[in-house]
Amino acid sequence: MINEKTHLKISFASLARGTHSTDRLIDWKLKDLTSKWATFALEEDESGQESWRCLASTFSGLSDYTYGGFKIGAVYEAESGARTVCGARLSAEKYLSFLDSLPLIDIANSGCTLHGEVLVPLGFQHELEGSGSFTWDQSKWEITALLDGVKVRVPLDDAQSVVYFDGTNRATSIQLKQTGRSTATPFYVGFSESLFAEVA
Amino acid sequence: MSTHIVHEVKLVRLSSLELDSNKDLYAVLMLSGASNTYSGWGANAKRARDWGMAYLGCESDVIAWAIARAEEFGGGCAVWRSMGASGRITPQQWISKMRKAICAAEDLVLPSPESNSGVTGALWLASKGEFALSSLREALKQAHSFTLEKPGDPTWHFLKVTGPGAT
Repeated sequence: MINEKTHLKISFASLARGTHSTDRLIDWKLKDLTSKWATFALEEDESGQESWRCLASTFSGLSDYTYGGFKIGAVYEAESGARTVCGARLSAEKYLSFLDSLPLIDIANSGCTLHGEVLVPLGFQHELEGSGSFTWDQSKWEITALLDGVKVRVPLDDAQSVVYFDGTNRATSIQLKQTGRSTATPFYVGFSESLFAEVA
Repeated sequence: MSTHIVHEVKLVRLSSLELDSNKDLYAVLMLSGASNTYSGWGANAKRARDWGMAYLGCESDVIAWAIARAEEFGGGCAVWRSMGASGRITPQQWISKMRKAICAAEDLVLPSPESNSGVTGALWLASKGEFALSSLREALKQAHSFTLEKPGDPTWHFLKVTGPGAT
């Protein structure tokens, strides 16, 4: 049994401000950061262990946990009762409406840091150098050599790193670490209590 | 790339006694077609749409199947009845439609153990393909075994479904 204790739907819009590139594709991708977001839930398991999980995002290479196939994913878990939200059992429809209702919080005000992890197999390491005429600034990236490639850990608080993470199609995960309190309104303010009514 | 247009969904309930299963089963009968597939030529061309049995399972499995397919409606890979904005429905609307269809399901009474066809409402069901020589009951039992072996996989290939709206 998993209980989602709190949620963050993080927008990357502020990273787009004041950025531009002479590479037209990268420039478009920098501006497109205004439409990027990721939804996280703080999950508590039966032993009381807490961890943040990315449920859904606009990152093209990252699989959503919301759906995952037949009897897989957070929506099915909510429907079957294996996942609750703030202790309440929700039907699949109510759970999806709940996720839709989460307000966007800009990463600058979220009180957390995000890191994306990418696995680049052997033979594809040239992708780490750049895209088109654009050269990635790797100064903030942690690159670890593996037997079958490299693992790259990129901070998602910098525009070009988010653009790299979104476009790579080799993203494996996002980790969220809370560093302070979010300055945003708590998600449940204004949220219909009827949504939390017990499902039949 | 094509979009799957779902025009109609009807469920029929199969008594557990009919198929020797431990729960009543529901056959999801769907009238649907691809956005880029047409029947006819020139001015007479119409988007093709056919009835088929998309899935067979107990009530909870049908809901699980609907949830797994809901992502297609959220991502624009599937629409409800039309390709325009009016065809866009949310994943939760799709799941609700399936719940309502379960409530409205009609019973399928198999005519005789050997018959390879049956009628439910305006729809005519018959075994097809490699099951064409089997009885309808046998084809449905095979479809049920298939979904137990491959949970969530579609069951279009077991039955021919004929009904109004197909082009």
